Amino acid sequence: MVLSLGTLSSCSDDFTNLDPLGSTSYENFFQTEQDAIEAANSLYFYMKDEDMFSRGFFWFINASDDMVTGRINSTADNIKNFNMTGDEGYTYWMYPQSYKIIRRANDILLNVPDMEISATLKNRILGEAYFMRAFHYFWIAHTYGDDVSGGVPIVTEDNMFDDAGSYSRPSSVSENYAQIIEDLQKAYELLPLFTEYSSDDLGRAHKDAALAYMAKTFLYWAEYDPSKYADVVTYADAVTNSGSGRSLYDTDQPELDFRLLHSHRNNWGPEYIWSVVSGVNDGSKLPGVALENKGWGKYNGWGYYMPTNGLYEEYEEEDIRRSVTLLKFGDEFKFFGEDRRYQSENSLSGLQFNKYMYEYQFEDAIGTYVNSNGNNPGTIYNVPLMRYAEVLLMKSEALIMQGLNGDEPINRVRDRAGLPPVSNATMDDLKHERRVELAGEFANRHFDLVRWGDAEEAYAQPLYGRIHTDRSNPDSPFNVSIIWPARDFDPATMGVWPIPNQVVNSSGIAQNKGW
Amino acid sequence: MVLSFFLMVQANAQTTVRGLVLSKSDMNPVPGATIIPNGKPNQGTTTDVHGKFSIKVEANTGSLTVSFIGMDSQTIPYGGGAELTILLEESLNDLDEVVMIGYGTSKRENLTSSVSSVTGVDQISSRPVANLNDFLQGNVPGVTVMQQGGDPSQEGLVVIRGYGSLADERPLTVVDGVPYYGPSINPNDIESVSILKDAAAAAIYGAQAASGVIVIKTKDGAFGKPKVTFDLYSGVQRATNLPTPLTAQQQANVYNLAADNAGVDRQAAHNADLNPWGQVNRTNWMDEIFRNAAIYSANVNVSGAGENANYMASFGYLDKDGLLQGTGFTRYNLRLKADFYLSDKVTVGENIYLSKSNAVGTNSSSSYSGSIISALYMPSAAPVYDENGAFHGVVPADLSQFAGTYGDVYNPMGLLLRPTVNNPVVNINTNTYLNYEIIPGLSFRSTFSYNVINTENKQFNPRIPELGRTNLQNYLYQSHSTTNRWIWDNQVSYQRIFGKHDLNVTAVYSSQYTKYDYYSQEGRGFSSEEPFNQYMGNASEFLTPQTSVYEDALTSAIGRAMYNYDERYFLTASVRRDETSRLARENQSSYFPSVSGAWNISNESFFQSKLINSLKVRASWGQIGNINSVGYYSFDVPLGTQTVVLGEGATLDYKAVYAGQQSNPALKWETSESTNFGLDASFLDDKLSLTMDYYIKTTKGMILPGLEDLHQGTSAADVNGGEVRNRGFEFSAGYFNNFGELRFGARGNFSMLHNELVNLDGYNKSNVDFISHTDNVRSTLAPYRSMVGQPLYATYLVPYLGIFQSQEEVDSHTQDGQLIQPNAQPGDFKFQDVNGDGRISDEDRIFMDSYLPDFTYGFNFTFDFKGFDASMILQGVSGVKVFNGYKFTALNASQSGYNLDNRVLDAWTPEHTNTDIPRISAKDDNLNFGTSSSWYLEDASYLRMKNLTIGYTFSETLLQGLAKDSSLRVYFSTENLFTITNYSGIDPEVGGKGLDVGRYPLPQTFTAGLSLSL
Repeated sequence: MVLSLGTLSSCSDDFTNLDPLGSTSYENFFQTEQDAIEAANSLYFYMKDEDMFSRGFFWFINASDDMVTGRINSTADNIKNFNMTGDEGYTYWMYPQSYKIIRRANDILLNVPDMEISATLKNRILGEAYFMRAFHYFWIAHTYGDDVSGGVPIVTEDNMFDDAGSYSRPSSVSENYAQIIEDLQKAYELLPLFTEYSSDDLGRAHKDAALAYMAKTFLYWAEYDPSKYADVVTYADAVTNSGSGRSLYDTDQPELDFRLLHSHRNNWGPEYIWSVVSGVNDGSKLPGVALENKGWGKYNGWGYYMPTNGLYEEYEEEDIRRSVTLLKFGDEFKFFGEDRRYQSENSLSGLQFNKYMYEYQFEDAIGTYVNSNGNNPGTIYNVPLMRYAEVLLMKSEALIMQGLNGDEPINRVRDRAGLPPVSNATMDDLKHERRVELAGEFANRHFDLVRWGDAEEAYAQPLYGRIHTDRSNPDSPFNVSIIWPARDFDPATMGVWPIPNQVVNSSGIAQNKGW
Repeated sequence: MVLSFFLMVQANAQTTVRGLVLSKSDMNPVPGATIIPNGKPNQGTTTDVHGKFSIKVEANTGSLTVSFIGMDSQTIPYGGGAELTILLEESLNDLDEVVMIGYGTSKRENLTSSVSSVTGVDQISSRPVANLNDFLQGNVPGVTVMQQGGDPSQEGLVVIRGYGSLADERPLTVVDGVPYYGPSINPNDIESVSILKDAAAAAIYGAQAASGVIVIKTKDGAFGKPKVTFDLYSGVQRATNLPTPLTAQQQANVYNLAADNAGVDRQAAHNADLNPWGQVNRTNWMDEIFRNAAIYSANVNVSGAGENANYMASFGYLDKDGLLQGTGFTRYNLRLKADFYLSDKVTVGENIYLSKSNAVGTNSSSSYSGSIISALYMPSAAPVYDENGAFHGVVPADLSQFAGTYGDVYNPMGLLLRPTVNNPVVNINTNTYLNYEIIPGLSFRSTFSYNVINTENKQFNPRIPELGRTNLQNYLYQSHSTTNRWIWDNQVSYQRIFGKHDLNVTAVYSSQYTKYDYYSQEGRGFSSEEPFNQYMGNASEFLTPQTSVYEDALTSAIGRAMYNYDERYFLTASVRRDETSRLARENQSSYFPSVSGAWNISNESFFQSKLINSLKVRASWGQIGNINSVGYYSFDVPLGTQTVVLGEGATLDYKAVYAGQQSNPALKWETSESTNFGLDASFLDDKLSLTMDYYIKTTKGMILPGLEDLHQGTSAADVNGGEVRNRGFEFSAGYFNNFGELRFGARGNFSMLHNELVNLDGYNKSNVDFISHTDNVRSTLAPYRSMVGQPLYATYLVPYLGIFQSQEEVDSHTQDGQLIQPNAQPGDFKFQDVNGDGRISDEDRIFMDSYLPDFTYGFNFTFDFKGFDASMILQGVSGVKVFNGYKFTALNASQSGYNLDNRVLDAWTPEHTNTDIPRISAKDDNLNFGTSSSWYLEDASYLRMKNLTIGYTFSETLLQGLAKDSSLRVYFSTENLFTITNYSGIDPEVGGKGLDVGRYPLPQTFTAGLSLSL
């Protein structure tokens, strides 16, 4: 009477064997040229992410003496004050997202070499993977790694499938730098020059970017090993001589040059090396993030990163870069077709970064020059991460640090700004030039102060702003007063930031000492 | 489901007696009722599917005893050859009731496993509940309904005997014998509900039953003339206990004080001279967004049964406005159900359910843009509309310079009313069956079910031009999904009684297949926002469409044998083999056994008790495979796709492909194993009955995403990674009695639950013994962690010790002579340095309680007196902790300049120290708010008056002229009349894992209705 289960279950074998639907599976991927290209495209996904090169790493740059948070926001204030729990969402994403790109690069480096696709394309894609892996390691290595707590775990195609929890930190960030250099060297060999790309492929990794980041990696490495300064010079020169014509944007009209340099008109100009490709639909939000809170009622500016009076004062009086970089009360500018004179009820410093504001001048800017989405307030200006002027300044710094004469590169930067040359430039000259040329950029003033050993002294000073008696009046007088109290910076531990707790908890790696 | 029960009939009779057995309450025929002549069971028979019987008896006169499970037995005389009509009454006590056990029914008395019947289902039509889940709250021990707030697009989640996994657990719903996955059915269609709680009971439904099974039987036609029932109610819902935002002037004062306390400049916008506009109170935003919301429900039910058929048709309409403006839920539904008795042996039937619903909810879980929290954030100085009738911003356009001060705030009325939202869900579910009685006792049944669910989601979002969170992009988001599913069950049952041996054997082969297909598209840049233009073709740019698709197949072979000896010793055993498409081929199938037994002590001859009428002990053990926590393709996860920005034109249309999650071809079935010990008893002439159960339910090989080492750069593969144990005790009792014309009933239930993560074996190879959860408040407070030895989703927080009342207290909070909280000032929080390292950090967290209640209880009282009836449901939970993340922004002047809850006026000052709200400041140097501390954790135990209903049924004579056997009842009903709780938020039932940032509260509802039966 009782039917056996076996009889009942006989006919089911094929019924439950369903192949995944929806998209390719890992096993079936990496077959065609299109697969390889789409895998390479995925390397650029986080470039436009709000928590990478819009705010993200900029929260740490905000710790510098060039700017203050700008509006009430205790979370951001506490980051600037090195008063962190490691749970801050603002600074959570850079670390894990960098490893996501590293993973994608590793997948390419593991699978693409065996693909039967054209050698040119294969080289380019492998080069893109090496570069993007190195680029993300570069950012997290110096942000989270030093020689006290160690570097950040090195995950490559060789150990990418290791067990969760098995990755460990190298004893020093120098090991990261060595691996980054290795990757960038390969990227340099494999990649085309950016001038060889078609317009559709602009924004992909290219030779000059690899060379310039080699120079910068060596510069950071030199903090621990001064012998690396020589390499900085080598690779800075390699950029200059790469054949793509990298040079300063310099038409001998200093003010106009510096203004147009920081605009979409120079997105792919001679000074371009590496930037966040930005369009009206997506890209870096930094221009809107750093814009007047609520943009005088015209646009949803977020009102962060207001420059300090200290930065204003750093400029030489005749330096035209000051007015392009900063707006002070009474300065004239165009905003959505309207002539305005700068004033702000919102800026806590009484100043505003002007560098990223070029695209907001046009009357029909919305949807053409700037994103219409107030939650994504970017422009079509490709926010620079590395430009040729920085390559020159790195070379100059490396020469000076080796006791050699660094005048030539620094003076080219000064000349473009219409300033007289300096002779026998010192590190003080170099620090000044780096600060004013690269103010408010991802060149990273905060980390400069850290690696120069200047942070403790600099941050022991309060930050000043210009407090106007009538903030609605562009002509009202002001007092220079303290807008940010002095901070305690412990150079032994605060040169690096706390690794997000979620990372520490999920992997078992050690938190940075002191955090 | 119609099952016939046949007994062997002896053949030496002389007279034939014929008759019909009907149920007195609904005049339905009672098939399968036992007819015993003159006390001689060996001469008995049973009624056929029409309730008819014919029996040959030895004597011309005598008595017949008629009995049926769930009914009181009757003994009546016969003689003279007349056809008898016997009306059986439903029995009062619970023990005789018929319980649906899955592929069959059983007398409660004969159960060996833990099955609870939902009580009072006949009242479901007079309670303003949109679905059964809401009705279940407080009804059944061990069944916890986690209300997801009052959002009309959400419904309560049923948790049976605790969380067994980290996945979204839902019990399986079975409607009229077939698993049902569509949207909630019309509660009015429901006749009875039972809940299968332990593995032995749920085993018959296997792979989808690990979280328990809700077995629903819908109404049938009653024998006799067609019956028409109208049920109508309407009412109003309102919000209670809403927070009060600061007035305009108070907001300015608080922020000026915050600036002073932080040592920063006051903001111009809060200066009465510069911004007099900001000092004038214009709007109470809470009053604006909440409304008295209407609810209407209408149901018509036509049913009947004749010689050869039984039919039921019902139509229902529900229109439930949400408490928040712009939200609501409507549903139309139709059920057509019929059984055809083609012959004595063959019955066929169909059951078709059609529904169309449209739910418009709102986001109340984001601390940035939730509707309710936005009403708190919006300055009270701002009016709702400007002079042109457009939504007003945080400030008027000509005061745009002050907009930044008030923070990034949406006009909450704009959030609720501006988008055009349409979310129709069309559900068609059909069941057809054939039942064939091959020989008496042996029957075959085949059931085929087909379900199509079409879900659309269309939301047009106009530009937001006003100041606050200006967004000059309009967009249309439109998606469509189709789910097609079929289930085919084939069942063979054999039942026979041999003397004192009662055997019931069932074998089932079930297969089901599902295909889901989803497509969504976003278009931007509409030149006109008028209704005529809100269609995708009018967008000026399109984002890359998103698609999602899966197939899912499952087959099961099941055998079950139920045996009892003399209704004293009971034994049930089952074994099943499940095979799923969600695992790699070599792991697709597995076997799951169960066994249960009972001893009905009161049926023993030695058992003689006046006090105790029945007494039974039960024990069960079983395993069920659980497939619900496995992704559809965990063994081979499809690659992810994205779009990136590249090229000179910087367009967002470069397709990118990447590995988003790792695969695990070695993944195996997760097993839910449960052991249950139970006792059923009744006392005092069955007036008092009680049931107790103790259970241990263990999830073994729990499927969860493995440890996601963030250095790996992809989500970890699903793994069999741990064991969760729920232990609990459940008790329910019922008392029913008549005092003259007063009928009184009382039921009570309570349950205790202890949930524990036993181990995380397999979760990782690096000895990480906890899971960090990322649920958070504004990406800053992350309160949850599941650790071995702790409950799932326990809160993990830094202990809050109070407020520093003086500088001395700050200075004396030291470790090795160093200040533990160097940034603290009087009025700041004091935290415990748990690890003694001299500072407050993530490492000072300790485990605290979770949102899953330790103790739930419910009481239900009913009274009937003459035509009046009254019923009352009280329901409560205790040992529940809510992380009140609302306070992070609502009481914190260092966030973004938002308006605040007026409880911030109770903040600490040197003069006002008896408070737990820290000093007001524009900075949070001491991380008062920025620390995930126990200050946020609140006891959310509560006791609610869930329902109170008073009705009156008019006497039959009054309606005699209308139709025979007609009745009319009118009633008044209220839900959530009061709630007793210490929780400081709007409503203690916040839903989810217990994280509250101003969640949509449950309504208090008042309805009046009538039920007319003709």
